[in-house]
Parts: sequence; structure tokens; C-alpha cells
Amino acid sequence: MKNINIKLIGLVFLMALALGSCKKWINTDLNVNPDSPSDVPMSSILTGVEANMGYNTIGGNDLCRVTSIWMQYFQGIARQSQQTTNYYLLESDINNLWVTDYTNTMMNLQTIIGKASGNPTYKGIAEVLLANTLGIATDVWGAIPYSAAFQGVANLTPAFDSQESIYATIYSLLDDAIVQLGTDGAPTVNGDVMYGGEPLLWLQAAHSLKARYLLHKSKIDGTSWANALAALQGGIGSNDADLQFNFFDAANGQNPLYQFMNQRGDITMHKVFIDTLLNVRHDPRLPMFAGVSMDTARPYFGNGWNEVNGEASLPGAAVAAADAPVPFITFVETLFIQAECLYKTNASVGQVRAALIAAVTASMDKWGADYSVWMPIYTTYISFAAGEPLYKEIMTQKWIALYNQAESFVDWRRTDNVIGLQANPLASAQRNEIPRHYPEAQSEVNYNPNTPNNINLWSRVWWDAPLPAKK
Amino acid sequence: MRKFTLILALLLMAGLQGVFAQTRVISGTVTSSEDKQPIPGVTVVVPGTTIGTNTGLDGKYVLAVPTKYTSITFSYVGMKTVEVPIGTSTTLDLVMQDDIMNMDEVVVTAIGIPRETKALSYSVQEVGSDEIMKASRTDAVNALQGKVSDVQIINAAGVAGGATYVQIRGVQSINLNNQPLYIVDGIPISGSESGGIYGVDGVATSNRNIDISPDDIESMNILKGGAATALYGLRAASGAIVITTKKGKSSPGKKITVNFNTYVQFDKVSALPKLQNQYTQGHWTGDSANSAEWFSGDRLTWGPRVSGMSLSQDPSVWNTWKNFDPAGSLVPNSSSLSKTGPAQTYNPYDFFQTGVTTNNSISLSGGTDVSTFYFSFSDNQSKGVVPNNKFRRNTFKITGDTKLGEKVKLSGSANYMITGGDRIQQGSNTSGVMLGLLRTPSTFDNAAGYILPTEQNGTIQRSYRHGRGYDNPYFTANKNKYSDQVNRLIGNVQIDYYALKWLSVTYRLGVDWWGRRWNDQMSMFSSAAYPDGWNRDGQETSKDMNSDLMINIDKDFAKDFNLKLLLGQNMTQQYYKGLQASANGMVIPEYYNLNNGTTISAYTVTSEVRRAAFYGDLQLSWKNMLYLNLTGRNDWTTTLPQGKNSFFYPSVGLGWIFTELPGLKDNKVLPYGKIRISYAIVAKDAPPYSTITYYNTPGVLDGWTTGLSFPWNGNNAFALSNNLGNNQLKPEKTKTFEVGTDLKFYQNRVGLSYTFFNNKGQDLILSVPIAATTGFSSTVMNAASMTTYGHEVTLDVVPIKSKNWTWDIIVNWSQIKNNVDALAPGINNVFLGGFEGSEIDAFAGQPYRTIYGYDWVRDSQGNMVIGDDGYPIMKDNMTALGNVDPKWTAGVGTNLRWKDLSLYLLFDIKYGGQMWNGTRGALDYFGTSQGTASRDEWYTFAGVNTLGQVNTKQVKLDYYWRTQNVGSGFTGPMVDYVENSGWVRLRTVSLSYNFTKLLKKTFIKGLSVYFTGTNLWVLTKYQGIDPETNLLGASNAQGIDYFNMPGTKSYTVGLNLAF
Repeated sequence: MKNINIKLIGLVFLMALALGSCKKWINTDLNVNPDSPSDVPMSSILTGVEANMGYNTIGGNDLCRVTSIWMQYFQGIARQSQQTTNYYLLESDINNLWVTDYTNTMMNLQTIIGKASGNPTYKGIAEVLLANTLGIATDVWGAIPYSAAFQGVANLTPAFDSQESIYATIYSLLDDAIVQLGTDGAPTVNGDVMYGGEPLLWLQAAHSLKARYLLHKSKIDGTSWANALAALQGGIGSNDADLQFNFFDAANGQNPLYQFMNQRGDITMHKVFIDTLLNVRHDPRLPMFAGVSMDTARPYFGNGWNEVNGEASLPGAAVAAADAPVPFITFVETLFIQAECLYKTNASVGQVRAALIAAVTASMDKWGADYSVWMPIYTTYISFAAGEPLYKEIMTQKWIALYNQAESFVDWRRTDNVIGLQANPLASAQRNEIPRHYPEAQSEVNYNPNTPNNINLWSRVWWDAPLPAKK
Repeated sequence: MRKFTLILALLLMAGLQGVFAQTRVISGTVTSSEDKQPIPGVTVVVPGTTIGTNTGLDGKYVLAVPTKYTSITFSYVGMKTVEVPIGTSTTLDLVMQDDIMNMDEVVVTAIGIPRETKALSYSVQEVGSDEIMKASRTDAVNALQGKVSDVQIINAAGVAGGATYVQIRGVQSINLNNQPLYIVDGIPISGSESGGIYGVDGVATSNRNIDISPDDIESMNILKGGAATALYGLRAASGAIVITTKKGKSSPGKKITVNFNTYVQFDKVSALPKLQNQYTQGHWTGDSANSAEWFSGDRLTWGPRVSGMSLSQDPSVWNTWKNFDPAGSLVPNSSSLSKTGPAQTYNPYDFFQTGVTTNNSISLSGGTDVSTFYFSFSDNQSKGVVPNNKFRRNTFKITGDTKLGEKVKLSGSANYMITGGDRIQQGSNTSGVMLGLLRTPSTFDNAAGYILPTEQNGTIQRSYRHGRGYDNPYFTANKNKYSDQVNRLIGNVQIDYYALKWLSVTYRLGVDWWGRRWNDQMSMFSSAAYPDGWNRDGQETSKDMNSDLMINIDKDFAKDFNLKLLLGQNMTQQYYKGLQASANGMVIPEYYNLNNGTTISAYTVTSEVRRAAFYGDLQLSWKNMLYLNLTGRNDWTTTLPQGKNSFFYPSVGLGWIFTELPGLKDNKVLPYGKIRISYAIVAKDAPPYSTITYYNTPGVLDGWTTGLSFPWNGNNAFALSNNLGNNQLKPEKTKTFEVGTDLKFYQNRVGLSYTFFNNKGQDLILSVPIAATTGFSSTVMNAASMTTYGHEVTLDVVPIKSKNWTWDIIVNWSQIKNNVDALAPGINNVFLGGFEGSEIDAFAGQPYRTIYGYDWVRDSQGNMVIGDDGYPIMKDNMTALGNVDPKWTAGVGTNLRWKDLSLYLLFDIKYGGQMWNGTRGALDYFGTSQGTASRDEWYTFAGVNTLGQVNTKQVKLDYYWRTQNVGSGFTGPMVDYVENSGWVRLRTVSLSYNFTKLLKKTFIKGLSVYFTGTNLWVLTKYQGIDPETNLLGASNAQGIDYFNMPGTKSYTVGLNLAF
């Protein structure tokens, strides 16, 4: 029995030892992922946000390709793009864009703003980009969350702010950015792959963006043109100073539309846009805007409604080259805002014509078009234009110049189709108008009960209120 | 760990004392009561010691027993175990009785503890080596298909070396791992799917249970409920598959037994989607069928009728694309151009070949009274039905034990495996072979070459879309290669110390280490996401260590009472490290190396989890009639926050063999009847690294393209992770209740077993999708609750049992309801997998795995609303459209033996359940599906018009409807492509002949030859490939068919030889 007792004591001792080693064995510090940091410098966040904005938020396929199909730059000939042509766009189709805007773009910009105390340039840059993102998002989605957003588990179901208050936020972000970016002796900024951390360039972009977002209210606020004109002071002053994301021709750095055309296809040029450039206007930008077709009989042609000819011209190098930049806000747009505002604020017709010619010239220069023959003819043509036709010409030229930019979709709604696009006549009876609104994103519908449930593709955002009936 | 080693050395020393004790030699013969013949292989042991031997071929044994021991135990499968006191005589003969009721049957339960089946308070099902062998499946788990109730096994891929999804009693977790724990000889091993297809494309990889050679397996026991797995704790929350491997056995007069198994198996593709071959490549150029035109390179098959077209090699139509259409361009029969014959069609399914698998294994085993050994080598080589799909596995195993005196036994095992294969791109991948194969118009011949020379001295791809869009399947199979190889070592050492007759101590240390390297290539001119060529190299290492120290007590006390107590301590570590580098944009074609890329990116993945536990298992029995089982386990884990990472969970069970009651005992009709009831709580921790929000290298992706990646143009970046950390996590708990009965009638000629179970999961940890406006898209939370209940019935009948004939039938039937009660506050559904718009989701208040997608607009009665144009209208938002899981499943197996010839049939029935036939949906768009053959026929949609009247408007399901409108799964709603995926199949048919008796006088100990057919007959309503498939492999999102590889049927001839 004694022997047994010793053995039992031994066993108890053994178990006690095991318990002791357990404590060391279970070290919860092990539960920190060695492959992901829990804090990083602002510069590395900024690089990632700019890239995501270039590829998704501003230049993304779900924004530009969709609105470009509706704005009749492109024709969808297959899959979802073909459905877009027929004015179908589902909650699931634009979910990626919504999620990436809120998480990869805006949450990270919020993080920079939170970290940027004592570093006004970082703060200013982040505010400019945040204002731009909010503007892009609200212009297709109307009411969106902002004031209750970005709080993680503290608010899993953020309320939607009206577009009016989103616009107020955009203006105040840009106003503060202008202050921040004007700070003397601010510490330098790294990781800015768009402007190399140059505050003065960002300041120009902030002014141009302010003008753009003031102008957006033109349909509901008659002072918009004058306000925008005022805000343009200090705006972008040359093509070289454009706020744009530059892609480059390496396998991991190519332009989103280039990648889409290579990996998916599904779209060609639209007959309306090609015909406008080729037959109506003989525009020298055509070879930059469209590729040569595979049909030797007609080097440039686009697909008409329900045509799916794969030999048609594809998007050209200006928007679909591997290294084609994605513009956020440009000198060209700034000049077009100026031209429109001058016209709408009753500037002299000469001033308006000069502004238009300057804008068109800047666009030609931007793409390196040879306009030596074309421009004199055009200038002559414009010298006869005045009144409503001149206004229509400004907006048409802006539609051409802002090729594959979502801003065209804003202008089309804001001006109530002054350029005269016709809806797809073959779309079904329920869908025979060009859409004016994106559907709410699938994930937001699923996970946030505050998501509006009365939205369809023909809903109108706040600034797109129907014009009052003529008295 | 070092401390254990020391203690164990001391224990060893203690054990060695016995060597010097005084002994006497006992010998005798063991015979059977039935035929009076000697029984070879009977285990003869002195209880509470290592001392033992086996009887020889003549039933004789000789055993030296120290004088202090007074009894010997005799045991043999199918015979009643007896403990016989040693008298004064040195001869001890024994006549053993048949154990007709299997009263002494022992199964291996949790932690490798052998327990008598009758004592258990939960149901177990075991599958033996013979059944595993005859099934002849590369992955042994597949041999369980149709045999075990409440276990769903889906061989997802239909390719050599593909993963198998196993689900025991429904799912336990919403969107975390639901795969069971695999235990080999008491050691948990890693069963994860490595390099798994977590997206919707890529290749089908293996899960790691494929590494085990089925020929090494003695038995597989499936532990289903909480009470069965409670001792294993959190890792077995989804059930456990306990694998016991073969061991050597001492046999007097015979030193070594050699076993040789071989089979060769031929695989053919089984069901394939039905295609039309009446219309050519092309599309309409106007608004009527008359405008259908043939176009070379067109993505669609909406051209004119094949019968109306001829081949022409006239330069005016043929010159531009003549390499793509080598037989000629198609022109109308009425064309005035010179023609070379009528338009041809080609059968795309000629692409598939006969798969061949050869399996050879040899084992040497034997032993003496002191030591035994088992050594095996196996080689399995498979060639898939898709060209260049290969799989190979080699295993080496050595197992041995030796007795260090009469108190200590030392045993160990090492199993080294080399597994790997060449795998083929599949699924929604633009290089997926089925995608290219099925979308190709029947008038285009993929087989006529997959590369073309170019003027620049290089090559481009030849495919029906002129090298764009999708890859020619021959190009994929030959150019886009994916290969991997796993080297794996599973080893364990165990020391048993028999301290007293009623007390023993066991220490077991196991390690499962595997390393996998893989190489993934995309050729230049692949039309897939990497047109400039791509090479990816990866290496991953997994180490799974497990240590168990156990004290076993087995003591009779008072009259009629027996106590079995196990106290144990467990420590585990699971460590994983993966490193992957890819080179994109090749400089030199066909040179696959990281130094050949224009951009190179690399990343690492780490995961480390440690756990420790104390556990106890108490079994108290009374009169072999009442069995009370209690278990308790406390776990500590590193994955939960400090303070919340220690948790205890108990189980309690009662088994009552009511036929032991005085009035019922020994009755003829129902000699054995048991009622069992158990209740258990199983707790589980969180996935590692869930408590903190991290920054990651941003993936700049848009869902369409490969996007941007960092480092980018000399810049690196980080972004806040979209997954929000949660430092409030606590363990999740599942409460399980199980009640059942086991009845054996008439000499065990009829057996019936019934079990009802109810699992209630609470605070279930799930990855919760949250609104992106929170700044994040997911977090991990203790939020979900789920109720699962089910019935399982097993009936076995032996209608005939005689010397020459036996016929038995085993039927198992099970039904499971797996209801999601709640997900998370405000969260109604969670995406499990699929494509946006065509999803498998978990929905609160609905059965798990809801098919979720777009429907047609319907009236309040559910009738489709048909528009004025005669076509239905697509709804703008998504709704629940069906459920993946079956209503019930059943297996019916029957064995008919005449003398030495036996025939085995196993029918596998899955009733109900749905699958998304995304393949058919897409092909309706492309115009290659059989459904599009009726494109010129009038059709009336069943529904009501906008005025509420029955629709009578006739329309055509033509080019406009299918491709320009919402008339296909590609452009329109998912609902028309949700299909019943139930089946009745002849899972296994096996005919075998055993030559052993004929060869009795020779040196050959056993010889049997068999023929096995697998899946030779399948009855299903599913309109495509065999519905035993899943795009996402062994993931929770089952029920997706999107250009999946077809399943196979196979024919096997095999031979087992022992000498």
C-alpha cells in the first residue's frame, strides 16, 4: 500500500506540474498576427487610398463604365454591360463600389485625418480626397451616411444624411482643406503619389473641386454659377497640374479600363459618340478616344442599340491605355466650369466664346491632338454661336472632353439633357428612360435597416429636382 | 514538456522492476464452442500488465506469468471475453463462446479510449478495413459515403485529388469551419484544405485527410454528438472521425505476415450537360431569326442552323481567320461561293479521357510476445478524366511496440507521406476547362490545335473567340499548369505504465508536420486574368503537436459496481506558416520562374494557436445494466482575450440495458435492448487574431479585374483592414441532447437503432458582415444561435445465415433540420459563397444554406406576372429561392454471400435539396445549352398578365430574350436555375471471391479478388453533371454548380494477398 501511495503522490505532483506549465503555455500575446501591423505611418495609408480612388472610387469600372454606357460613350455588348445598356443595374452590381468607397477609401481618409494633428498638409490632402469621394458617391446615390458613419461597432446601422447636408459637409471639408493647405512651414508629406506632397497643387485642386460642387446645385439654386465662378479663383491652372492618378504599364499597375478591356471586354464604343466625333465634328481627338475597328471598310464605328459587333472600335488610348491616367479634377473641367458660369452669369458672348475655345484647346492639348487644321474652322464656327446654342455647345464640348468621367452623368442630369441624348429605344417599356440614380448597395440593404427602400434607377437626387413647370 | 520526460523516465524505471520477478509458464489451447476448432489469434493477457501473447494457427499459446498474478484474460473479436483464474496446473485450455449479441464489442472513443459499445450513452458507427478496401477510394473518407447516418460526404470536385466535404449532424458554425476533427491513433491531425479554393475559381486542391493510405486503416469510427466528442473538446465541435491504423500482432510459429493489395481503377465522366448542335456560332444582325449570321470568333452560338450552312475556303471569306477555322468558313448553302462540304459539328466531350488509378500497397507485420511491428508502403497514382490531371500519393508507415518488463509498454508510429498532383483550372475562372468547353459553339473544333504561330515568331492561343475571352480547354490543360507536393510526417510515441491491476498511466505525444510547395502557372496568351503570363510559387508548413497525459482507473468495488475513471491533461499547438510569391508579366515565354516577371509580389501568412486542457471521464456501472457516464473538460486557449479564455464544459449520459432486468433477461425475442440518453455542452474558441483590427497591404480590386497590387511603382502601402477586431469575444457554446435505443432481436438477426438529437448553439462566433458605412465590412462576434435536430435510424437484418449463404441488409436513414435562429443584431443574412446575385446565404429564421438571388415579379398567389410583350419581368431585389440541404438521406447496403463469393450493393439516396445550375444559366445565354435548341419555337410563359388574366401570349425564347434581355442565368434571375439535386445512386457494387480456403494447404494465408463499381447508376432530376459537386470545394457554401468539373463513375479490379 505504501508503494501505491508514493505512486499516487507522484501522479498528483505530475498533474500539478502540468498545471504550472499550462500558464506559460497559454500566452494570449501569441494572438497578435505577426503578418499585419496594428499601426502604420500616415504616408503608407495615403498611398493606398490614392490608388484605391484611382482604381475604384473615381476611375472604377462600376462608376465610369456604367455611367459611360448611359452617357453613350460606350455600348455594352455582353454580360452586365449589356444589361446596363438596357437600363438594368442591380443592387449587387454596384456593391463593390459602395463597400470600397466607405472602407478602403473613406475609412482610411478618416484615419489619416484622425492621425494628422500637427500635420496640416496630410489633413488638407485627406479632406480634399474625402470631399471628392463624398461628392462622387452622393451624386449617384443621393442620401448617404456620413455623420453617423465610420464608428465600427459603436454604430452598426448608420443613419443616412440628406444630400443637402452631404453637400454642406463637402464645402466645409474643402474650406478647411484650403486653410490647412495654406499653412506655412507645415511638415512635409510622403506617400502622395499624385502631387508629390506639394500643398500648392492640392490647394488648386481644392478650389476647382469647390467650384465643381457649387455648380452641381445649379438646377435648384440660381446663385450657383456666380458662386462657382468665385470659387474658381485659385483653381487648377494648367493641364500639368491636373489632379489625376497615373497608372503605368506594369502587370500590377495598369489602368482599370485597360484591365477590363483585356480581361473582360464586354463593351465597345457607342455609335452616338463615334458619330458625333467622326461624322458631325471630324474631331482630331477621335484617334485618342477610340481604337481602330477590325472592319477595314470603316476604321471607326461604334455599336448602335442592341448591336453586339465585336469588331467595332474599342475605347481608345486616352482612357484605356495601360498607362492612361484617371482624372479626379482637371484644368479642362475647370475651364468648362468657367465657360458655363460665364455664360450663365451673363458675361459677354466674346468672353464666353473665348472661354469655350480655351477649354476645348486645353482638352486637345491634354491628349496631344493635332488641331492645327481643325481649330481655325471651329473658332469660326463658334464665332457665330450665341445664346442657347452656345450654351448647348459648351455642354456638348464638355461631354466630349470629360469622356469616361462620371461628371458627365452629373452634367446630363443637372442640365436636363441639354446635349440631347436619346434613350435606348429598344429597352423594355418599364425602362425606356436614361437612369438618373444608382440603386442602393446590396450589403447596405442587407445590413443597415436605415437604407432608403424607395429608390430606383429613375429616382432623382436632391439637386436633380424636376424643373418647376413653366409659368 | 521537458518535465514530462523526466517523470516518464522515473515511471519507466519503476516498471522495469517486474523483470526480475519469479515466473511460471502457463500453456494451453483455445477452441471455439461452436465447431470445436482451434482459434488462432486470440489475445491472451495478464490483466493490469503488459504480459501477453496470441494463440497460434493451432490455437495454442504459451505464456510466462509471474507468480504474483492470479488470472489470465482471453479475448477475440466476436467471442465473449473471459477472465480465467490460474490454478495450480500449468495447463489452461479454454473453450470460447460466440458473442452473438456483440456484448463485448469494443470501440475506440474519444482520446483513443477503448470502451464497450454497450456502455456508451451515445450512438457510434464504425466502418472496418474490409469495407474501406472494397470501396477503393483514394480518399478513405469517401468510403463512408452512404454508410453512416447523419453524415454528409460530398466529393466536391470530380477530379483526381479533389477535396471532400464532410458534415456530421448538420453544421455547428455559421461561417467558420464545420469540418470534423480527424484523429489518427489518438492524435488529432490537420485535415484542412490547403491552398483551398476560397474564391470561385482556381484549381481544386486536396484536403489533408487524403494523405492517409486507406490500406493502412483498420477502422474508422464516427463520433457524432456532443457527448461523444466532449472529451476532445473544442476542436471536435463538428464531430470527429477516429481512425485506427493497423498494427502488428504476435503469432506463435509465424514471424512475418505479408499483405499485398493492388487495384486498378478506370474512371469515366458520368453525367454531362446536354448541349445543342443545331445552330452555329454567330448572332442576329437584325430583329428576326432570318438575320442570324455566322461570325468567326463570335462569343455566341446564336447563328443560323447548321443544316443551312456549308464550309467554304473561298479567300473572300476564309483568309482572315483561316487558322481559327481550318475546315473553312461557314456560308449559307445558297451562297455562290465554292464549298467544300456541309458545315460540321464537333463533340466537345471528346476532350475527356478515361482516368486510370493504380493503387499498390504492401505491408509486413508480425511480432513476438515482447514486440510487434507493422511496416507498410503504398503507391497510389491517378490520372484524371481531364488530360494532364494527375495525383500521386506514396506512404511509408512503421508502427511498433515493445514491452519493457511487465509494467511498461512503449509504442510508436511514424507515417511519412508524399502527396501531390497536377491540377487543372476549373470553375468560373476564364481558364476553367468546362467554361471554355461548354461555351464553345459545336461548329468550332477546339481539338484542332490550341496554339497558332504568329508572324513575330511566337505563338498565340487558338480558341473559338480568337484567343480572347476564355481559354481553349486544351490550352488550359497543356499550358496553364498547377502542381503541388506535400511532404508529411505523422508520428507518435506512447508509454503505458500499468501501475496496478486497476490503475494505469498513459502518456502520448504526437506530431503532425506537413510542408506543401506549389507552383501555379498561367501561360502567355492565356486569355485569363494574366494575359502576359504569370508564375506563382508557394510554400506552406503546418505543425500540429498534441500531448496527452492520462490516468486510467478501472475498478470493481462493492458488489456489482464498476468504476472507470480517466483523468487527463492535454496540450496542443497548431502552427501554420505560408509564404507565397508571384511574378506577373513574363519576359521570356514558357520560362516559369520568379525572376522572369516584370512585377513580383510576395506575402506571408501565419497562424498559431495553443491550447491546454484538463479533462475527466467517469463511468460508473451497475450489474452490466446501468451505465452512468460523466465527463468534464476545462480548456485554456490563446485565441480569446485574457480572462475569457478559460472555460469548462460537462457532459452526462446514462445507458440502460433494460433486457438485463430479471423478467426480461435471456428472452429469445429481444435478447438485447438499450436505452441511452445524454446531454453535453461543447464550447469552442475563436479563430486566431480576431481580437485586434490590423492594417493590411491593400488589395485594390474592383470585382472585374486583377487590379493593382503593392508594392506599386516603388511605393508600398497599408490600409486599415476591412475586418474589425473584437476584444470582447468569449467562447461559443453548443448544448446537445441525445436520446436513443439499440435493440437486437432473434439472435441478433434483426437490429434496430434509433437516435434523436437536438443541438442548440448559442453565442456562436461568426464572421459578421456589417454595413460598409461603419467603415468596415465585417467583424467577428458572439452573436448567432442555431438549432439542429434530427433523427437517425439504422436497421440491420440478416434474413439468411447458414454455412454457405449469408444475406444481410443494412439500412440507415437520417433527417436533419438545421435552423439558423439568429445571426447578429440587425443582420438578417450572411453570405456564405457564390456570386453577387447568385448566392448561398445563411438567413435568420430559415434553414441553413438558403439559395438567395433574383426572382421574377409575381402576384400575391406566386404566379409570374407576364408583361404586355409576353415575357416575365425580373424583380429588382433578391429573395430566398430554395435550400441546398436534403430533406433526408438514406443508405441501403446489402451483402449476399454464397460460399466464398460475395456481392455487395450500396444504394445512396438523397431526397430533396437544391443546387444552383449556373452552368445551364450561362449556356442559355451563349446559346449552346440544349434549352436553346427550341429557339425558333413558340412558347407561352405560365403566369398572369398585368390585368390578372392567364397569359396566352406566345413568344419565342430567342436571341433577343436570351442575350439582350433577362432570359438567361447570365442576364436574368437565378430562380429558373435552382434545381432539385436529390439522387438515388448505386454508390458501390462490389463482387468478390475469397480463395483463402482453396489455398489452405499452401503458404498463402489469404487471397481475395474483387470487382467494384462506383456511381455506376445515378438517378436525378438535376440537368447537368452529377449533382454530387460543389464549386467551392469543401467549404460551407455547398450547392453551387458553375462550370464545375463533371463527376465520374469508376470500375475497379483489385486483389488482396496475404502470406
